[in-house]
Amino acid sequence: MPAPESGVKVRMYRTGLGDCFLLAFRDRVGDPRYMLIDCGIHSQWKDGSNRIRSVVDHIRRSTNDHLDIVVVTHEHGDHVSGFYQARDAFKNMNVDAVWMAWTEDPDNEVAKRLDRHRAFMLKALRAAHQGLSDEDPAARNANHRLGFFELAETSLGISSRDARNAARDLVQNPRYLRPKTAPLTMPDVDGVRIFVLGPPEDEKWLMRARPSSKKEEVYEEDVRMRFGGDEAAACALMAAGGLALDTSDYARIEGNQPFTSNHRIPADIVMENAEDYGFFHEHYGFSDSDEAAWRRIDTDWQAAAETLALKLDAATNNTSLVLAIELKASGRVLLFPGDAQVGNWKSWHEGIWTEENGLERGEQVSAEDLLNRTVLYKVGHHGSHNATLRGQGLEMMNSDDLTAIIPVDEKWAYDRRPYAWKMPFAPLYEDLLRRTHGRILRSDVGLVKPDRPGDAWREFKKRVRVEDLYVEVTVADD
Amino acid sequence: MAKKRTTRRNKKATGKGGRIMSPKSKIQGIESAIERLISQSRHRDALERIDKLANEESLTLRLRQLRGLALARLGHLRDAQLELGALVEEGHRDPETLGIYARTWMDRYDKSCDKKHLKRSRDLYAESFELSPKDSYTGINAAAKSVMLGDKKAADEYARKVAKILGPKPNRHDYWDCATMAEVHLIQNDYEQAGKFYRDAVVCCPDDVASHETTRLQAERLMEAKKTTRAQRAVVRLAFKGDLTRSIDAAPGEALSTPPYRRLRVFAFDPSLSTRIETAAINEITLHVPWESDPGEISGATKGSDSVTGSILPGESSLKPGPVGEYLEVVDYDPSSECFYEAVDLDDQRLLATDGCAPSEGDPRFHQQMVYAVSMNVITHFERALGRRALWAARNDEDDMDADLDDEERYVRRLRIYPHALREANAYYSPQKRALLFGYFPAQVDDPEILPGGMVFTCLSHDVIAHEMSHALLDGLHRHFAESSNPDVLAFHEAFADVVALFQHFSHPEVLEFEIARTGGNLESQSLLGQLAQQFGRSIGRYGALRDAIGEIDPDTKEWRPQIPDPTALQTATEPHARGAILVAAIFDAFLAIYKSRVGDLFRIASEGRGILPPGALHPDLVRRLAEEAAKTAKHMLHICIRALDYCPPVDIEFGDYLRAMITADIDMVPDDRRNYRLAIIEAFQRRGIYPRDVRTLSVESLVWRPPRVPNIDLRPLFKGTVRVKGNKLEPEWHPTSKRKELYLRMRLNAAIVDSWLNEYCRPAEAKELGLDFTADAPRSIYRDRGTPEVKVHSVRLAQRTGADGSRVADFVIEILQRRRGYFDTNRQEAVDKARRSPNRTDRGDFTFRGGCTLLVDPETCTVRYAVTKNILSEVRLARQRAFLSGRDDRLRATYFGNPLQQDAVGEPFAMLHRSTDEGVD
Repeated sequence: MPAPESGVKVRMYRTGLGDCFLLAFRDRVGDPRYMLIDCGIHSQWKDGSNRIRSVVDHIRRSTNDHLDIVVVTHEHGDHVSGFYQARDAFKNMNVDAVWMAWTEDPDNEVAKRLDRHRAFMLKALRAAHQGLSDEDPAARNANHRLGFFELAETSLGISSRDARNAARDLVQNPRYLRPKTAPLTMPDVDGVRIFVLGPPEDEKWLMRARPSSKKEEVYEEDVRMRFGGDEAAACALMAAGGLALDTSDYARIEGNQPFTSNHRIPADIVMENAEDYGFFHEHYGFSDSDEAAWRRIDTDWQAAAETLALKLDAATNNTSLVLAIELKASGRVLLFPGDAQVGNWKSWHEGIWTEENGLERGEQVSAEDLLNRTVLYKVGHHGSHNATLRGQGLEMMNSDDLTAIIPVDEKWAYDRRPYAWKMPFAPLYEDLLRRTHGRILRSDVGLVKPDRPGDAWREFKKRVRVEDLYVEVTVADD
Repeated sequence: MAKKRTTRRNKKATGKGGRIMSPKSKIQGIESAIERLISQSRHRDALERIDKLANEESLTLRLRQLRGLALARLGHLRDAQLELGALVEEGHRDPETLGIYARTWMDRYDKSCDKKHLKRSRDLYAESFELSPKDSYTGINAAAKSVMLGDKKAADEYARKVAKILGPKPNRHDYWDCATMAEVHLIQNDYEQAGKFYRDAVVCCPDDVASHETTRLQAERLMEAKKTTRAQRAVVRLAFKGDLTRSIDAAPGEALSTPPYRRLRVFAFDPSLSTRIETAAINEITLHVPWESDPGEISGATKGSDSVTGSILPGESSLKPGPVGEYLEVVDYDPSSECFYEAVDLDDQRLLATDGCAPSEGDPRFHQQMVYAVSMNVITHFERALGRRALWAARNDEDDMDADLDDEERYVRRLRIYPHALREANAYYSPQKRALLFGYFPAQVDDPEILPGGMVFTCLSHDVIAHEMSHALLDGLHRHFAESSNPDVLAFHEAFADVVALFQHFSHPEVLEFEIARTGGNLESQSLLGQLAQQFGRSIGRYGALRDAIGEIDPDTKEWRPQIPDPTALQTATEPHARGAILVAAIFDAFLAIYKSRVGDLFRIASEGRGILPPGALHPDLVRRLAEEAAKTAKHMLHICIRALDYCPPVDIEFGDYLRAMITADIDMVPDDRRNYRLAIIEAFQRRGIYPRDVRTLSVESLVWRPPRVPNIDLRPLFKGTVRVKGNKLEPEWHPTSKRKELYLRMRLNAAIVDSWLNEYCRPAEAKELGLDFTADAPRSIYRDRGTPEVKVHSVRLAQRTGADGSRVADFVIEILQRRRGYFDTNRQEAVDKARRSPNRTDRGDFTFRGGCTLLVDPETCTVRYAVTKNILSEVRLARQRAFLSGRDDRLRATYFGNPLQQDAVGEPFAMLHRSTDEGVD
């Protein structure tokens, strides 16, 4: 894939629901330099492994087996699965550098703590997924829903953790990036600066997946994610689930009991001793034929699993590495936010870049400034409602040249059962259509044709190339 | 109730056998054998023998009487009445036949609650008594039935005659003579003498416990019918208590009166909150909870040990461990911990002496006590405001699961409460289970305002309990308010529950006093109360969320300030909680305005007319008075809000409807609006942009609901007994002291009467005016029952109001509903509507569209005072619901899981509503 005379060429591989972007820059001597941002496909995509392998083969051919930088935004299968599924192909490539978020750094204390918690929650949810009753409607629904979050090991027997590790292990020393550090560059490429906007280092932001006040921050409200409060539910799920547990798990389960043991009468003892515990037999009842069965609550609490899954999902999204790639001559910016949610977006606006964090004397850059200059926006989370901040996000992207690029397959998403996934989310999508004058690229339809294409769109069309395997657009720096 | 008496009667009859018997000694032998079987309660055997005889020869009169008796005892009332009725028809109007026949009508009345049956029974006893005026048995029965009929004059006369038969000194060694004499005195209001004779009866055969029970229940019924005071009842009940071999003279002197309340301690604020607001001084308050002492349902239909027992002393508590009472059963099962927690016995002497368990987070028994106490408080408010006893939502006939239940089985006596059902920051009312489920969760480690590490229990939050209880009580009144047919319906459910929780909390002056005193001379009363309202709701996020519109902390000054009402906010808010918050804020504004006007004089007095208070601490008397005024205002607002429920449309409520309901209800209750409550409410709603749909100007007059435009709907048949159905007329005197189950069954019966009236009398044009259409050419999408459009009388309740002369009068609130299949595709809708045949029964459409009306009917004038309609034929409303349901609800959960707010949502509507707003602590 040749680099453009000026600026950058952005290629979105059409992996359905999944992110895989190849960027080509021209270096000082005129050779192309490549950056790969994510490489994944959703685990439920039929025959996804083969598809992602053919994508990676194409990347090999396009880059002559050499990637200057591989960026891993966050540990979700639809962003990283390819690193594992096509690991043999990657072995044949030369990767110079891997960039990941500081939250993936095995030596970072905060990251370690977050990771421990995440692992615990995941274990609880997997236990729930395997062990919960499928007979009760409440539990069955919760269980169905757990399936969506790729909690269980995929059919190939890999987890997104395995895939992320495969990406990390492409080099000896991956680079863990923190926000508001000195802008990065592409090797030997002039006139390009890369600003790291997220993930936030302040846990306050990391934990926020939902707006706090009634001011509309995203296109609709989102869940708020707080780990502490969920531990009790996770413990109970673990205890009820089907996984083997270790002593520390049991200690944790006991530690999350609401009352001391002298108050507790184990359910099986109550059940077997109708004489001693007549009250519970009369008022709760245990037999199936019991006429009180309709009021029993044996499995209602398990619906909490679904809430945990949502939160865990949002938490991981919030650890997305967010890059703003600036083309210096024109000031144009390409924004790659991974699947960042509210807290991540909001944190960008804390602090600015000055000479203290790597800018030239007297220069200042703020997140708002970068957003104002954004001309290419990789829409977060396949265009769902909760990964594009409104007020301090999309509304600040007021460049008249804005293009949106969305890795999404609408039909596939809306065909999900038992509940459709609303991707792309219609109000957001309509807003994008308006702001970009129809300049939208999607992995399912390729080039979106607006109802009334104007001159701006016809100009744009010239910069676009649509192939079966990818969609490509060039952003010039002039 | 007179079971044993009939046995006695049998003995007599056997003795004087010849009177009605065949001369054949063989037959005589058979007859006495069968009488013996009956006296041994072997009714089935008796019946078998009679029926066998019947095959061989025609039965004697006596055998046919016995057959009727056996059938009646077995509960085959219809067959019994066929047999006995035939005898009477044939001219056997002898005392024995009439007596047994009368008894069967009484049994029927017990099932039907239909006064016509009672009257029939009385008349038959009376006839029998006239035929043999020496028979005290038929006489006392005629007297007793007259009491129940409310026919005081007849009752007194029969009682006097019976007294004459028995003479001034009845035989103290004959159980039935004594018991009969006791009943005479009871009917004549001489409770002390009644008590003495009952005791004599008991003492003369202390072991015949079954007879005691029969007699006692009969006495209870009479006292119920006579609305006897508690103290008088106690005297009578005492006769059946204690050492049954000793006569009443030896019993201890004065009976103790029944305590009106049970005092129970609860947390005044959530324990997780009490560290934050400086409330250490009043961390607990003591609630007055009704003393539950009524013996269970008279019909004894409930199973298990909690059904009618004779072991309750006068005024003795009937509350069972759990607590399990008349309304609630607390069952402390924690499925996620796989254990039960021992049920608290609030009648334990140690707890009675200490106002219940001491507030403690670590003892589940206190948790049970607190949910019980606060819940009972909410019920009390509802009952006071509505002037009748609260009922839970009966099991629904539209639910497939419950489809084949009869009315008795549909009745849900107690709401189930699970204090530790969930492990999440959530609590909800489950309309399927008729249960409240409370959750608990570890305190959020990253929330600086809450102690880390501890558990937060939602069942220890006064606001959360009151909120969930209100959902349950509202669901008991308006089942269809849980169906989201427009953006206001679920918002209303939430807002109403929050308003009840808020005002109930405020109705305890203790919780306000401390805060009022603390702010001292700087008291700016309005913002203080607003701030408090928000703080109370805070500890568990979503409960506070509804109070967001009241005010906020200024980011610059860090001071709390009330929010300036935005009349356009309602137009942009689509999410139920956002809309609910606006309604809560409007009602709260009205509360503040009323409070302000109520305390104006106090401020002027305290500031010596300057209006500015002197610096320094407030005088404690002033603090107390201010708190009292705030509490009183809160209670008034609470009752206005609850009372309005009787004036709401039966389905598809909008905020504007609720405003009209509040105003109309208040006019009915307080005709003279001296304190301008109504204006305050209207103004507050106006400032929040809440307008009813078709009202041009906002004034009291324009907001009051109107009577139907067809003025002369003939409702007289409803009250004149010409409707052709069992019970045949609505009974306005059906009084509030009745047992709840009777009330429920009466309501079902009344519904059947109205249903029949609709069929027989209501003209199509009138029906259309009431928002209904049951003509043959009604749109085909309307559900049909055997070809004609289905109409359901959802409920018939009594609502109190103040009559022109200041007295309390009762109106009937009648809710009538129809349902219709709605389709997202308008072409499909039109096709179905205009089709020549109705769609298949299994075609439920894409959604259900409901319509109908709430009628307030004055039984005196037989007119509809107000008709609140939601027209089933309204295409505009149908289009609105279609647009709403097919519109987007797009929170994350909705993205993945479909829309929990729409009708197709699976599972628990309130759980989802709660979960989808706020998962954590705000």
